[in-house]
Amino acid sequence: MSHQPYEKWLLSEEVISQQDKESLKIHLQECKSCQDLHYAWQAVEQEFAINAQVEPQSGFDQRWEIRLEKTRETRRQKRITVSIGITLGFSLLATWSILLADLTNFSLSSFLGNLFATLGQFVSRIIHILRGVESLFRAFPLAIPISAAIGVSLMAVVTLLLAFWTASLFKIYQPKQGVILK
Amino acid sequence: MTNGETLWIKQARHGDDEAFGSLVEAYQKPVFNLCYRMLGNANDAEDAAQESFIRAYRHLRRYDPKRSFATWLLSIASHYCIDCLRRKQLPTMSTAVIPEETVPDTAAPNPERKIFSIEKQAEIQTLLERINPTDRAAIIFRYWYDYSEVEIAEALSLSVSAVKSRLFRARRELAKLWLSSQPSNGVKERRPHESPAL
Repeated sequence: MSHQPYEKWLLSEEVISQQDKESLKIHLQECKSCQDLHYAWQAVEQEFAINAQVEPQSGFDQRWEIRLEKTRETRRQKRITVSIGITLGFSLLATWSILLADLTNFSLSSFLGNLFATLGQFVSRIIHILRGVESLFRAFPLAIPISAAIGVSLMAVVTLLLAFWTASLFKIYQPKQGVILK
Repeated sequence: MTNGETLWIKQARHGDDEAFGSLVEAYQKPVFNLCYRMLGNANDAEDAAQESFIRAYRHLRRYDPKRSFATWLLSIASHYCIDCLRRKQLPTMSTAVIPEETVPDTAAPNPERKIFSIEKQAEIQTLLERINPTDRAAIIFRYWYDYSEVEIAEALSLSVSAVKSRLFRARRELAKLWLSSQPSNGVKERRPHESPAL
């Protein structure tokens, strides 16, 4: 026996015509399955009606305030950790760049004692290398496109790293929520 | 939504924590009840309700004042509960942790009535726990919050036709579960009220 559309009429909230109501009544008298479904649903609905809303234990709003404070603290600590991590990473990268550029002459004491002098030395060495490369290009013009591509790629990587660092710091210190954090 | 609530929302959006605290106080019961009906135990419900308010606080700028704040808030809570249920299998509810009902029982001192009420709550909760989380949320919105199909669709980010079919499916499933939970041939006598169709 087909239970449609009777099941649909019984379980949906749509209003049906008088003729359909009569048809449903006749079907319910004949069909045990639909009859059971009908009364079972009525029973469930009745149980829904007697089940009142439940409420939390008293002090919910105070517990929420404590949780909000904890959430803020966690977020604050996370921001600090991330910014320290990024700063350390960037410093490490810069230090390694300097070390790699001047590996043979590098001295930790002179580096710590006179950072600006070392940086100056680094810059002058870069200029020196660039001049050397330039003279090399003059001697071998065919090597120019490959070397230029390598140089541009390196500069692009450094620029991207700098952009990423700046963007990360900006994002970390940008409040994400609707209200200002304390 | 009352004028006071509109003002609290406005103030909270400008960073007034106290105003948001008033909103928490005003909406704690409906949010907790939804979480409790969804998750089936008071501890998880408390946690989910707290988290829902934290999320609402964090995303308050995304709230459209033209919409109902209650619907927006309950939508956050229902999505959070659905996610929780999908992530893990929550343990079935123990009757020992059933919280107090909001509406006081007229015969409160009567322990038999209280036990009956707890049993009924446990029974209905057991049925709810056995249906799909989104269908469950639709049923809760319909029968505990008296939401229309349109409002349920808004709260659950579904189409109205999807809500209709989910409600139909959930009702059929609940009825069948109820039938199977009854002792043999549990439906013996006609109930006093009829289906809306009749």
